[in-house]
Amino acid sequence: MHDTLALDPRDRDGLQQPLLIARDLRKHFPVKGSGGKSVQAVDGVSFTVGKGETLGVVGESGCGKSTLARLLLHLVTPDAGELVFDGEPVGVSAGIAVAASRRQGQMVFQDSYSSLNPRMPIRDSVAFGPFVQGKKKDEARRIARDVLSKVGLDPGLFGPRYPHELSGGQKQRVNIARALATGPRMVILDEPVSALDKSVEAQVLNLLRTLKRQFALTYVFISHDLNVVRYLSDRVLVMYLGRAVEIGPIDAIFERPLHPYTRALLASRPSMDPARRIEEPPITGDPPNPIDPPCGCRFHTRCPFAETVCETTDPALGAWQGPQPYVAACHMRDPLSGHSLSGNA
Amino acid sequence: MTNGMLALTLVFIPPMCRVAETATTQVRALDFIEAARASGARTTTIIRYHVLGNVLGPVFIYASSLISISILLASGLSFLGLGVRPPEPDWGLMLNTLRQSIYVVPLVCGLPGAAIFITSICCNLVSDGLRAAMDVRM
Repeated sequence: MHDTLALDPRDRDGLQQPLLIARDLRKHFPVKGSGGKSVQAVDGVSFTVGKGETLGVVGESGCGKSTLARLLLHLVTPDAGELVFDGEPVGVSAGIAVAASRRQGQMVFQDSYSSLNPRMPIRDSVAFGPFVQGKKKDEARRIARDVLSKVGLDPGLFGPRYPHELSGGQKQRVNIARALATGPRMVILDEPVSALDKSVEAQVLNLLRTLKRQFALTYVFISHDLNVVRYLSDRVLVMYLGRAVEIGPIDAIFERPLHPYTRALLASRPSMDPARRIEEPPITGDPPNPIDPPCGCRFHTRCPFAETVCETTDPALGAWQGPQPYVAACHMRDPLSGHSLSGNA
Repeated sequence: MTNGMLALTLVFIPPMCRVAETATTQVRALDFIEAARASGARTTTIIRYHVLGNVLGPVFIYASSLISISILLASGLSFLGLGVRPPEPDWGLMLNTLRQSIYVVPLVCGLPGAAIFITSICCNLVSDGLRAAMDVRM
């Protein structure tokens, strides 16, 4: 898989250079009539996505996953922070323009119904991307046919159809085809399977795996379904209330989660083993209001281990270039934080 | 005649704009617009290929339904003597003039009314047909 990646003519600096670096991304949405308050959808999130890697992003509803996805493609402009795409800063005068970065990144949306134009035959929807990027109409149509057959839809049969004539799974395949038609290197999957039933979900996930190999893609896979994330991802980023609380290799985090929130998330999965039923919900209540997040650690209002230090000091998400493969933003991991359990890390 | 048309046109501009604005806001919030932006399309391209087609439908349907209402209103104004002046022909005016003959030849004085009725029904049917033709689902 990595061999094909190295051959990509657009590749710069080989595999050592991460495909995407996000530094301290921030997006606050002002709330009307609240006297200058804002929803802190994404508040200082940093991570890297390596070439050919799948980064899973998990978290509760409303924790900023979708906003993060839109930030990565500049569909919403970040208030602060920096995006570096394959070594080039995006959207600043010295780096590549936003438009150029959009040629290399695409997105698959959650709602397969509203993400296709109802008045456009699907072959035109798929051909639209290549067309606006300067391909001739015939050429764009040819690409659309090609990509449609790659996602398992017969272009002759499905091409002239309208979105309402397709099933949910077929529509999501069209969405994937649309994303791939422009030849991206990175695809952001914003809950691509959460609206599908289980059998179709499995088909689409396998399709995504196959396509990743075939097109040498890098995925950012957003989901609230932990099993799905584990199936597809190499590394995982856990988000809580607009912050990254833990990031690391998927197996390490699933085997030994560091952050209490990650532990609670993992414990909330229904168990396959009847002998290991979950007796009570490990985490209760709703997440705090992102307009007015708690001070200190944002999780302290729901954390079973919260102490005074958690209410006063905001834990940092470890050292980015540190030796350990994964980091968590928790005082219990920092021997100098003063948390009574900090020695157990 | 011109004045009456002008008055009706002016009256119907705000609701027309409102319909267009509502439809545009609805379409703009849908994911396929965002997908188009993600593929690098400029605003004008998105409007041309993705927004107009979805907005013109409701606008045309509303406009065609306004035709029959306009005919009724214009005839009503003329009937009251506020629209068309006598040398010019108008169904509303004719209805008013023939009002006195109702005891002599009742059928004749009903004819302009029937004409108004049939015309506005036809416009409504055209509007319905347009609605069906515009819906890709049918």
